[in-house]
Amino acid sequence: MPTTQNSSINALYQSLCAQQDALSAAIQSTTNPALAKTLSTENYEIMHRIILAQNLLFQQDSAELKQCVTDVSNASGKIQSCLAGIQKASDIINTISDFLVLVDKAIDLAKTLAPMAA
Amino acid sequence: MKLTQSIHTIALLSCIGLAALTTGCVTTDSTAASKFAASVTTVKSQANDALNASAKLTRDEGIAYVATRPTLAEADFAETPTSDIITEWDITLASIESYALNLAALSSPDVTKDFDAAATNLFNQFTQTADRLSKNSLQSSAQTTAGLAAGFSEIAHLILAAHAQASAHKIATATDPQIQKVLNLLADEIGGDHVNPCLRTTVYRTWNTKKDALNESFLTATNQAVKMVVAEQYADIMAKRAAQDESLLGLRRSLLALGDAHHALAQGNDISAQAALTIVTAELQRTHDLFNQFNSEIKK
Repeated sequence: MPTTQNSSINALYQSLCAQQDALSAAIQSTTNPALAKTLSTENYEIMHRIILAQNLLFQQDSAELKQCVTDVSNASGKIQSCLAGIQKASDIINTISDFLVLVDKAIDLAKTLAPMAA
Repeated sequence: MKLTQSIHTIALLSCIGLAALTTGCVTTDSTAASKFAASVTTVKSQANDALNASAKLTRDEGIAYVATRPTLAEADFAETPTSDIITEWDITLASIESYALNLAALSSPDVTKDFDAAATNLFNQFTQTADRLSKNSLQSSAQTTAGLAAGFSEIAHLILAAHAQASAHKIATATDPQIQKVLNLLADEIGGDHVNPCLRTTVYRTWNTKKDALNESFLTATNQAVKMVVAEQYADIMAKRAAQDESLLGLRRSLLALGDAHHALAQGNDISAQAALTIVTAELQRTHDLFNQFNSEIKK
C-alpha cells in the first residue's frame, strides 16, 4: 500500500471488495433470475461505495474511522456467513443494508476529516 | 515573497548566471533532456485520456446505480477520479513538463544566453505550484496534495541550492529524489495491480458490476439465440475491462519509466536515459493502440 494511503479507508475499500466478490460469486451461481437481479442491485450499491472510497483513499487517518472500519469488518463477517448459506434474498438484503449503513457512516466521517471539505 | 527574500533570490540567480558564463559547465545531454521533456508532454496527454476514460466509465455506471434507487438525489451520483483530481494531475504533470523544458533549455548549447531566464522560470514554476497546492488542497486527496505540495516546495528549495552550482546536471541530480517521489506517488494512485486499493481496481470492479448485471438477462432468455447475444455482451465487457486495465497499467509504466529516465539524466547516464525514454515511447504507443481499440469497441 502506498505510504500516503489512509489505512482505514484502505481497509474499508478492501472490505467492500470482499463483499462484491461474494455477491459476484452468488450472482454467477444462481439460476433464479429474480435473485440475480436483487443481487445485482446490491452489487451496484457496493460499487457506488467503492467509488466513494476510491476518492477518499488518501485521507488522513483517525481513531474514530478505525473504529468504524472495525464495525464494518464485523458486519462483513455476517454477510460472508449469510452468503455462504444462501437461502433467502431478503436475509442478504437486510444484512447488506446494515453493512452499508456502517460504510456510509465511515465515508461521512472521512469527509468531515478532509481539511478542505467543499 | 518578502523584499529580503527577493533580493536574496535575485542575488543567487545573478551568481548562477555569472557562474554559468564563467564555467560553461554543461554535463546533462541536451538531446536526452529534450526527449525527456517531450515524453513528459506525451505522458501528460496519456494521463488525461486514461483518467477521463475512467471517470466516464464510473460516471456511466453511477447513472446505472442511480436508476436502481427509489429517489433521484444528487448525492447518489459519483465518479472517480473526480474532475478536481484530474485537474490536479494535469497541473502536477504540467509542472514537471515545465521543469523538463527548462532543464532542456539549461542543457542546451545556448545555455549561457538562456540560463538566467530558464533558471528563473524553473524556480518560479515550482514555487507557484507549491503555493497553489498548499492553498487548494483537495477534499478527495488531501494527503496526496499535501505530499505533492511538500515535494514541490522541496524541489524549489533544491533548485535554488543547485543554481549556485550553475549546472543543469547538478540541478537534475538535486531534484531527482523529489521527481521520483512525485512520479511514484502518481504511479501508486494508478496501482500496481487490479486487486489492491487503487484506481485500476476500482475501474476493473466497475466493469465487473456491469458484467454481473447481465446474469438476469441470461437467466430470463427464452431461447438459445438470445442467450448467445447476452454471452457476447458478457465477453465484450471482459475484453473492454482488460483493455482499460492495460491502458492504466501503461500509464503507470510510463510514469515509472519517466522517473527512471530522469534518474539516468541526473546521473549523466545518457544510455540509460535513452533506454528509459524508449520504454516510455513503447508504452505510449501500446496505450494509444489500446485506447483506439477501446474507443472503437465502445462506438460499436
